[in-house]
Amino acid sequence: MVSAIFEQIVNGIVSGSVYAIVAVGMTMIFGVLRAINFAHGEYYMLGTFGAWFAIEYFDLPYPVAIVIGVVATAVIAVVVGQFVMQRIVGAPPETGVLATLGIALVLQNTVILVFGGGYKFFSGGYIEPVSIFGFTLAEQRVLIIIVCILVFVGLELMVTYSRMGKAMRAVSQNIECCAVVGIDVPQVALRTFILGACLAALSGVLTAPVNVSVYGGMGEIITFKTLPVIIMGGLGNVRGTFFAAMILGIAESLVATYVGLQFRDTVGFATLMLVLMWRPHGLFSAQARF
Amino acid sequence: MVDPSLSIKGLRAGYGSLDILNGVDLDVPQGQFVALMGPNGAGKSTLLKSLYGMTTIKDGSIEWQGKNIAGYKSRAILAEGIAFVPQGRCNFPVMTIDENLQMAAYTLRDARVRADRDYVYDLFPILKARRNTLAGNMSGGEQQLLEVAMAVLQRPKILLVDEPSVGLSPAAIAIVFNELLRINAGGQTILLVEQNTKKAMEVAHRAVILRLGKVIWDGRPADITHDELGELFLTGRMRGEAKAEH
Repeated sequence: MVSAIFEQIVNGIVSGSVYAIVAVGMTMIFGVLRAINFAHGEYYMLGTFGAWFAIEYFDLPYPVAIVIGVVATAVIAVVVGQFVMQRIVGAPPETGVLATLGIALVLQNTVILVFGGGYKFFSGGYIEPVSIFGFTLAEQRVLIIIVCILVFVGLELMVTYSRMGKAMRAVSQNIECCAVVGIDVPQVALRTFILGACLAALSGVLTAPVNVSVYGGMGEIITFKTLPVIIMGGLGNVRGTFFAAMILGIAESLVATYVGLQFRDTVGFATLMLVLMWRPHGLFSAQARF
Repeated sequence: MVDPSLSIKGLRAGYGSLDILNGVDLDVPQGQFVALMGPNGAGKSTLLKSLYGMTTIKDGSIEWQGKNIAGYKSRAILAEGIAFVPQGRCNFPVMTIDENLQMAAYTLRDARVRADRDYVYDLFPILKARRNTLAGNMSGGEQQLLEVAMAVLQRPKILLVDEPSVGLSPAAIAIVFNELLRINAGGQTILLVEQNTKKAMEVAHRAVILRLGKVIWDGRPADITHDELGELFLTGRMRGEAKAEH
């Protein structure tokens, strides 16, 4: 019994890692652009499709497919960033909502138009089981956890020490002051957005071997699971997002096993309601920071 | 005036279709400490913002070292050697003093940044002592000094300072003004907007009084009493005068 619960917790950490990698990009985009990116899940979808395309049409190995998925998404993010996201900076809040919802529709339907609406089978990845501390776990799940840790350590180092990372924090803390000291806000916004989109794509490519199916509408559910995570974590808060994602992943896993699989997708918003009743600013901070 | 480094002529500017400045003429020579004063709504802050590219300029010119910079963007103006300390809190509250200064040096080339921070720390030892403190955890006066330091770090040829005394205790105001005097003594040109007329008259070489978007008085602080100043603010003219001198 105890070991069964522990196994579910480990599974929860795996899905928590997936959510964390997606959500951290969304929370950083919010911190800098002051807009919820409702198209965030679509970049997760694009990354997965890019990798699937590389494997299916060119028979490329999975590690190369990861790179292709992320790079393809980055290219699309550059275009979307320049034409849409940069213009959201300083615009009224509804502009960001409508623009990103619009982007979500365009990206999703373009992919469906090109590749068809049906489910596709993702054949890459490391699905061999490995044994760690007496548990049997697919190698891919271990890889997801490791990449998640690397991503968060990397981001923490970047926002603490790099010039661009500091500029991202500066924009999220006082955008008017950035204009006064000469920080190029649109450039910082664009780079933050591209980084966020690439992380979403990375998460998608890493999860694909576990989920197996690939389809045009797969991003939507990710956007709506990410939303409660970034709110719980305290909008714009990188570390908070990590813990909130883990809480959601573990809670989902336990609910799916012991309450019923059909309740799994309600866990995010149910947890969010409970957390907000107790801490209206989210779990970790009173103000946006990263 | 001889060889003014800043020469504003017939400046009309404001926000959108609303005009705040209605033909401002002002010359500021290098090294001078000028206090801009006037009643609320006179256009003092708008004048500073116009010099920093943050308003809509309708007419007139801003000659800066022989170049008309009217209509330039803030970043370009900064590159021309004009720095701005806006009114209210303008720093990054959850970054340390050191990080705030790094951000202020964002436009400078990296190799110079380190040396420039040392230069500012020498000017403001109080900041050096607290370089690893988060800006938001400092007192209002210290934050104001930080903001002045962030502007000074750009090595501007002219420093625009908007109401540094707002929200500060008398002791903190004294410190901020002393620091402004000190950097001016080092040759820094300063254009200061200030509601605290007493303090501004004490430190400035020259007082310029704005009313309804125009300069109505320009002279040495010693040439005007406090009562006359009040009269000017209220009526736009001095007792015994048909019209204020211009």
